[in-house]
Amino acid sequence: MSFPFLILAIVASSVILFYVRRSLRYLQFFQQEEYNSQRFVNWWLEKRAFDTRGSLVALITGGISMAVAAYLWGTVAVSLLGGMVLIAAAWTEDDPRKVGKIKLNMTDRLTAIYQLSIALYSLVVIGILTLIVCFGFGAAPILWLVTLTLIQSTPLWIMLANAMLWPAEEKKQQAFLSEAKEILADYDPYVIGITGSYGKTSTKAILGSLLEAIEPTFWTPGSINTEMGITRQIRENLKRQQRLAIIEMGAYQMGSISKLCRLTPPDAGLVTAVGVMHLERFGGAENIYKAKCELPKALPAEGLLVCNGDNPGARQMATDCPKARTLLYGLEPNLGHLDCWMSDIVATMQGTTFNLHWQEQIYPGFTKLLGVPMLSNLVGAFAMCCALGKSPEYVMAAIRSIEPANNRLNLRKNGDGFILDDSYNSNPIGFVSALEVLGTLAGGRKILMTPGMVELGEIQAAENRQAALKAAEICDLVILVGDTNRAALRSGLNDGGLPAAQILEFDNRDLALAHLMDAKFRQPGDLILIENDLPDLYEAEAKF
Amino acid sequence: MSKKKNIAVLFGGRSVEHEISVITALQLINVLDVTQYNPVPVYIAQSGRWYVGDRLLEKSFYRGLPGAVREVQEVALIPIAGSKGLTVINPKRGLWSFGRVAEEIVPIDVYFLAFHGTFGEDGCIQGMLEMADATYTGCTVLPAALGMNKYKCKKVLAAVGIPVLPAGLVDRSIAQQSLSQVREQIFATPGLEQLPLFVKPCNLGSSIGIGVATDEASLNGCLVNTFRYDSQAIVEPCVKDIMEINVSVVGDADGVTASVVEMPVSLSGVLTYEEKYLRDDGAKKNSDSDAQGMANLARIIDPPDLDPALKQAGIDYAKKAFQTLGCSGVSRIDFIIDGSTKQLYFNEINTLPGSLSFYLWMKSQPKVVYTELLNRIIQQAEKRQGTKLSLKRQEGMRALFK
Repeated sequence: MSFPFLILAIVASSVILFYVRRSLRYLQFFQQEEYNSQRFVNWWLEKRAFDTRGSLVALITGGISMAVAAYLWGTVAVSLLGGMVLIAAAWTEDDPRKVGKIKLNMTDRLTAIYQLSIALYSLVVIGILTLIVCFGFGAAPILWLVTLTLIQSTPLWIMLANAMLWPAEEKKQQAFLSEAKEILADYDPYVIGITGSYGKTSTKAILGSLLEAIEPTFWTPGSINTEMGITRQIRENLKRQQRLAIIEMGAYQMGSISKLCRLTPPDAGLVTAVGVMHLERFGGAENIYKAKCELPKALPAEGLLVCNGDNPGARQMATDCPKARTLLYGLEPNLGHLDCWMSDIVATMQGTTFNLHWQEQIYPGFTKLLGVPMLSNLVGAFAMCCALGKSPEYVMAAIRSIEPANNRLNLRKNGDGFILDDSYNSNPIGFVSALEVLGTLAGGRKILMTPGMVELGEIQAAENRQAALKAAEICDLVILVGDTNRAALRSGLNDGGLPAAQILEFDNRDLALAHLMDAKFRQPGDLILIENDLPDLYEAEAKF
Repeated sequence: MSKKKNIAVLFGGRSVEHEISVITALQLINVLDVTQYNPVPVYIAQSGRWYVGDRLLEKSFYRGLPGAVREVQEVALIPIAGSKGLTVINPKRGLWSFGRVAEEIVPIDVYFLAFHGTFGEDGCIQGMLEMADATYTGCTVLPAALGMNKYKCKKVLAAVGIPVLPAGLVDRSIAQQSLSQVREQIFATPGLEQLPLFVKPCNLGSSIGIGVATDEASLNGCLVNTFRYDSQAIVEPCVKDIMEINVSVVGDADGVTASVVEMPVSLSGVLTYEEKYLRDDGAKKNSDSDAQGMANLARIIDPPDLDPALKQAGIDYAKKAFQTLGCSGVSRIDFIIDGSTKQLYFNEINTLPGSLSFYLWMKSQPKVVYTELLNRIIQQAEKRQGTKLSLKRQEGMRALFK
């Protein structure tokens, strides 16, 4: 009787210790999927992110213990050894809290989920194994086989813990939400909402930087654009003196912008683009348009709406939801009426010179920003500033000192060459513009490093192929990262006539970057465009 | 033998030179005379909160900010006269301490200020330490505040005959009303009739927010950029054939000593923040903290080609500026030399210079090693505090009950 319980103790403790470490890696993905169990399950099943290492150890240990079943101490020894290998299998993996592009952030919420899931898992492991032993099936091979199933079930306990904690979490979130609403009602700033399939984060940063040069302005940092993210920023950082508040509004599904507009009722709105991003989440371009329309619809009739006239969807919105003041901006006045546009664009290594047209006046200017998408964002921000009554001359002066944001098509020195970092972009127009900027730069080899674009639904392969065709025209060397879009990109590059010897493949960005920085590979004046550096989820499959 | 004195080294602070201050502090703690003093690092985070703890001595701590503050203890200086030290706030309870609080006050004998820029070099923290009757190093409120305001500092020093470049002062609020009016005002100032002009923040220590205006559009751009950092901009003529020399001065009411002259080497004509602190010429990558911050700048110490008369003028004016403003501790006074006219101009004073200019004193005659320099600064602070305590502050309650 005591032998089965000894083995049980060994098996249970090793499988729990395995979980303690391994669950962190699943939690990393769970966090990146924004604690959304549906999306997490989709990822888990789609990517077949099932355990292999732990299961293999369990299977082999079970097998060996069957072979030595006659020797009781033998089975104990085998199980002990197997348990140690199992623990080592998890604990020798990279720690997601320290390694990875988007590291696991041990927030209070995540820690609670983690700890509760360990408790649940331990109970289940000990419970099931004890039952089996009590009913007399406690032979080591059986215990190890059951263990295999338990190891595979890791994601389930994370989701269960999350579901159990949700009522308390929701209550906390509601309290924060009402606190943020109270602060807003008290301070009552003029709220400018920004949305768009792409360009909204950059436009927000540019607009914030321009307005702040004139008066105290609040804007949500980074790409924070969710209800809880905005709530936290308002609670912690909004100040009474800030009479203007710029809020980036992300559309994750139908109704998410409406929800944000109830939190921060906008007085003005800026729509950068209606595109094909996150097509999978919405189920059709029609729905994306409707989701973005929630911002202009939430504006008061006497409000201000500024739309990108170069983008058909955004232009349509100006027609469908007109406000007291509705303005169109862009770079292409030949597409239709524009209230504010940019012309005479000349790009150099230092930046871009241009003319801005606003209310019958031409304002010549200079910016360190590069590339058509960034200039379009700049025109949108300029139009908004002028519409808010700021002096165009002063805004033009402020434009000169806007710094390009990291990872959004900014040029930085890399030895005697340059890196054109566009790793946050992931839309087709931005991709092509980045390639165009790469084309205008003077220097050595023109190198593109990219994993391609994702979340484009059924057009994903075609768009990647299209971008690769353009890349073949401009680049001397293309480095493909991961396997998600490898086939589509390769086909575009081949058809564009780039010789196979000038295409390299790497499993992940770290390997690709290491190669690019390797002295043996480097050549004088290398110009490297890093395009769309994807979050870990979409890189070469994570092995568990 | 008397007990070792606790020296609180205050650094960080709400300033664009926050990082540089960390470097200065770590450097000086390294060489502080441990036979006499017990250094207590006190870090003021960007948030304005104060922390103590040994982790502050490790560079890795700063990489982990802002979350890393959990590893150190929050404290505060309560500005009540007769303060004995820093008050522990929300004491951390270790897992095994069962609610026992270690100490309520971290005892401090002398506050060594290692800040650069706003709130630390400009009289703000000095005012607070005065309120607490604390012994602190360096300038008192007025010289610190004067030293920080480039425009007023020049006016005061020009009044005692130290040569300065012409300068115009522009207010952010006026510029926002009309940039063209501001431009006219600048061009109407004697000495500023012609572009290029040099634009910089009036109250900022480092080279952040500076720019050279070559045409009207870039003048607008430079002004607005400067107004991102300061509500006042100072505009000066751009000396074409420019050379810079710096001199460090140590002293108090009893006398002043000047260091050797240095000539910082600039690649672009103007020393930018990047050039001052971030330059990495690739020749040697030195992560040793002794060679970071201002100590890392490319420079020629005691430049042999420089006219000895100019060198001497720099040293004399530096001492005079130090005394006129009423400085104490160590300062660095920066001069501009117009190469075409061989004329020397006072440019600015740093009342808390980067790395405390120790690299100049190492090369001076007689040589002053860093540890000794720090000892002198601390002793001056103690002496000053002794004098202050002997001043009468009370007249009794006579007027109220007359």
